[in-house]
Amino acid sequence: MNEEQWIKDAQAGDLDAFNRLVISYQGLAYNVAYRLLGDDASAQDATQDAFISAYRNLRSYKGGSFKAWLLRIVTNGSYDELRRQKRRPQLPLEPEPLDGEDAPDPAWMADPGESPAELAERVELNAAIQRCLNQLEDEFRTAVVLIDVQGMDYSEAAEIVKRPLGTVKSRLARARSRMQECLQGFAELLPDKFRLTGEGKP
Amino acid sequence: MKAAITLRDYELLSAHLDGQLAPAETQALLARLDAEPQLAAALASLTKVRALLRRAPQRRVPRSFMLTPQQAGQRSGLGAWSGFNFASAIAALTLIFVLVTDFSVNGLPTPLTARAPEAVMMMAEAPQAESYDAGEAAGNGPANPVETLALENTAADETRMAEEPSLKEAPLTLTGWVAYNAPVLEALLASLAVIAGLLAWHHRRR
Repeated sequence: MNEEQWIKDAQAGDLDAFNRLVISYQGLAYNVAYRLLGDDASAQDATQDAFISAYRNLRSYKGGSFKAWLLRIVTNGSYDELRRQKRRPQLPLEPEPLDGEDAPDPAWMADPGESPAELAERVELNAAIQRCLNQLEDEFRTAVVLIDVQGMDYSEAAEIVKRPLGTVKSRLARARSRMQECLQGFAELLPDKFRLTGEGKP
Repeated sequence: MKAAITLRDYELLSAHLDGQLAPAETQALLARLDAEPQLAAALASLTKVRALLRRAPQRRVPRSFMLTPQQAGQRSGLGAWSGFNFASAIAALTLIFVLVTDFSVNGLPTPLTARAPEAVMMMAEAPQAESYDAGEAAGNGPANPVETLALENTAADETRMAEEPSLKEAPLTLTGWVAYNAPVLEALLASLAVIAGLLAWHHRRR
């Protein structure tokens, strides 16, 4: 993959080159948007808008991590969408499931090698994680999504959110602490090795 | 042993988990972990949380997000369209203004060349009459053919104004001012329309 060349070509107006970048990053961008927004439709919109915005503003990219530059657009777009949702909360047309989660749609998580029971466990676990993420403040959620869910390092996350490293560390620690508290409520869903003791809450 | 774990402790544990502590900080924390079981339990808990989050499945991308030429060109197309609309609006306003001016002053639109001599004569009327009076009084007569033509036109205008008193007594109004400056205004507005058109063309090229 010659990312630098694709970026140069895209900056010169080559849409095919930009679409190669889209293919490389669409999974990451969509997953970050999904974890920040908590629903598929909003995440798709935010991802598409982010790529359109990235293409239009590609000339403002002056080097450095393209991934960080792109994910900053994704996170900012997701924040805008969250603010919009807070201003104009929408009621779903269909009643929500009793547990408050999205209607189960495990097809996307299906792994050919696992049993239905394992799949069901993973679906429930994923729902529990997303529910706890949704309860975090936006900036805490971003820290935990970028570093723990997406496996980025602190400096990358700091570049994306444009905050000092110390701020990211602090946000991540608080976010983990709150996730710990929240996930204890789903203890029965957690595999044994992940069961939380509940000790040492600050 | 501390009774509760502070937020600062959590920050240390969290950074330690990710290998983000300086060696000296790590040594100090490890010593505390040996002495404080509650702190060690908190670290174990955080480790599980982090492992759980790292196990969170990645969603499969539901569709391709590659841009179509329309999506990519949306902005420039819209910009060109906006620029074009803006230029069209200016050109249309200019045309309306010129037509309204023509109608209000002359009743019907007339060619610029047909009105120009009248405007010139209205402008030159007073000084030329004075010069004619002065020259005639001195017994010199008209100095050149241009003056002769001007004097003839002045005489014709005086006759017309005598027949149409409203012309003679018309006060200096906005309409009168516009009529007086019509050629300049028309040239100015035409230039504006041309500039607007060029701007639209430039936007489209971009």
